[in-house]
Amino acid sequence: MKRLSDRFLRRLLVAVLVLVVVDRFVPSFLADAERNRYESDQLFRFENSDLFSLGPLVSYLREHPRGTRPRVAFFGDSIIWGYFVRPGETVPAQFQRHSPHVRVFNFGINGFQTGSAHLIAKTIIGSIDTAYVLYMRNGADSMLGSLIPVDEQDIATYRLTRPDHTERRLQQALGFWHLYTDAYRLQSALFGTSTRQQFYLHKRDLFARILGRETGEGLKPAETPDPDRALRHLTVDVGRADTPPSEQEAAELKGTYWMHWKFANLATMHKKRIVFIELVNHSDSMPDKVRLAFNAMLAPYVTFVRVAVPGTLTVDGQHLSPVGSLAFAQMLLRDAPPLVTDEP
Amino acid sequence: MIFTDVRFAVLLLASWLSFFAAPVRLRTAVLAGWGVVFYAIYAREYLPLVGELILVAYLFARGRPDVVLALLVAMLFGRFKLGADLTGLSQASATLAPTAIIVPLGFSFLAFELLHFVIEVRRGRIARISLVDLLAFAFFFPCRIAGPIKRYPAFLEAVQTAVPSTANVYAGLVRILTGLFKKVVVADILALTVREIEYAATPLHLWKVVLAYSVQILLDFSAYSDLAIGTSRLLGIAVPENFRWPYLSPNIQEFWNRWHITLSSWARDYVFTPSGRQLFKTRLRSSPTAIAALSYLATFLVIGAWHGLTPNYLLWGLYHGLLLTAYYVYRKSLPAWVATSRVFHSRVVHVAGTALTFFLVTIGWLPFLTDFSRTTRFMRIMFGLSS
Repeated sequence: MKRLSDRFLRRLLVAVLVLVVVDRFVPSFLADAERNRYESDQLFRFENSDLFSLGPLVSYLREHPRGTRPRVAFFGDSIIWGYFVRPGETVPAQFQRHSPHVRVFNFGINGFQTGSAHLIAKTIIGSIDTAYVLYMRNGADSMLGSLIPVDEQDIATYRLTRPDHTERRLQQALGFWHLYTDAYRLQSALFGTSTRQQFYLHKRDLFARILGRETGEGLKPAETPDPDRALRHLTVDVGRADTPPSEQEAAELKGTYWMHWKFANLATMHKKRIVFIELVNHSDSMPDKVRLAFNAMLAPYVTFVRVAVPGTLTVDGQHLSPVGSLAFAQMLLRDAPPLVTDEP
Repeated sequence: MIFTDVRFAVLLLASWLSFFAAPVRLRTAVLAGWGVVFYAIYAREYLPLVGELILVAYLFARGRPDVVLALLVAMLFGRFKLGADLTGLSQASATLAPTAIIVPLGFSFLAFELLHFVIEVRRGRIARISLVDLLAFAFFFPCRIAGPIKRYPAFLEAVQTAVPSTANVYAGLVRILTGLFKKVVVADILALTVREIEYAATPLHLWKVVLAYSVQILLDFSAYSDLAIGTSRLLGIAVPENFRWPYLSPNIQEFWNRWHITLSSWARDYVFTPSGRQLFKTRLRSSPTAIAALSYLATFLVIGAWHGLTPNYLLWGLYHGLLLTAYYVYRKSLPAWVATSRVFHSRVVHVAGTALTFFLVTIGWLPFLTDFSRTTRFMRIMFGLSS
């Protein structure tokens, strides 16, 4: 019995020792993986368009407020994420391809609402230079409370799930165990999603790779016969009122469009650039007068753009085709370029 | 998942230390205390209700239904006349959608354990009862989430005889790791395939989803049992095994001896056997087949309802009741020379029986996957009766 007990004790000790040794290498491995995913030329978007990698990305950006290049973030729903198109053919990817001097992050998630974009932008505004926001409804995903830092007012305003502070503090106390505390960040950095989601999405590729056959989505963009022609088919409005509204009018606008105002304030307070994109027949629409007034009030940091995309540049009447995505990206670069210096 | 929370690990460590530090006679009090703490952390709003259910079970076991009635009247009076909710139901319901039913954490398992306790006391098989022991039994947190369904005398004995040992810690940790592997690495990946039911429309796709679910449900459920058994083992307390390679069963009767063992044995002891005995006292005594059929159907309707009082779970229960009845009739009508032949006991027949049992059980999982109307539609597609 004592021999059995000694054997079990030895096994337990060996297991602990192995974990301790492996754990020593986790921080440097994580740093390399995150640098590779977030700072390299690798196209970035959330695999499977889920929230899994949102928390790790926000943590990374907050810990590294300055990257190797100015940072541009795209917020939006499946249109920004790139439903129906390959990762290399999305709007953010095309934007990245045509402006290699910035680092583009595709924060698009299916069903995303503008409230979610606002909450995320709040936490990372110090770490990005420009944000493009495809404007949707004011709501926010209730899970954000447990994924990113939020305050009590946000929890009340957006009815978020209250974060579990006790569990979070206990996890922080375990901070010496990197394999445990950095598990999510490791998976996000390596796969852009959870390990099981990665396995599920790419199981055919995985088996093919094991068998020695090349597969892949092919990140080369589709051939665009005449990208400039596609760009001409977009209807874009970035006007501003000749004179800013009066104080009373401004107060009324701020009250009625409180979400726009709160969000836009982030840009003006931090001297960053935010471009709000209203997609005709998709986004909640804003009267022309209001849009022009906001552009006058919030220049040069904030721009409200209205874009109409013809059906020929979409896959299903809503989601952009590869040509449509390229035209959209080119339009943004032409009419609402990003902030690339400290001063606008 | 509760078992992977740091909070749960801290709770387990604290309970382990205090359990073995306390004198043996106080162990149940220690477990009861930590069980209450567990409920307070993870299901605070249900704590008053669960506490009262346990008290009701205790009073019934003590033969004091008059006190139970008085308490119920007092609670109703307090609720409707004084606005004081002693059950905590209004607080619990505030967190739920208007049409949701209030169900405390692990309620199905708790309910069966309390029923077992009351019945065994009334039968005279449990002599010494104490409220503290009952609280320890009912609130035992490793088994509170998803079973296994324990038996009171065996549990108390295990608590009294538990010893801290490296062997228990090692075995418990290995069991926990096994459960985590099954759940996190395999079952949760299969769950992603199972989600394809939302858009599966061809027979092949539906079969793929249903097969994935068949494996997923076993791994998921047995993983929770592993976690519960492993956590209990850390405390030196043995709780019953719940799964024993059920998909290797050569017939449906054996399947129910291996699948969710604690539930099927509970149903056998408190539904099947008593209903069979009662039916034997009636005119049906001359028809053992009818008795068996009615007992199986009653038992499995109860098991179906235990999973959920919805048409699809009742359908599933009825399905298994009919399968067992059919197997009973088949065994009864099998000629003796066939039943004793070498061919009948050969490996080929065994494998064929196992495959058939797996097939029948697998298609039976469809009501668990989707609602009643879609179950029938998918069945037709899977068997080529509809496009």
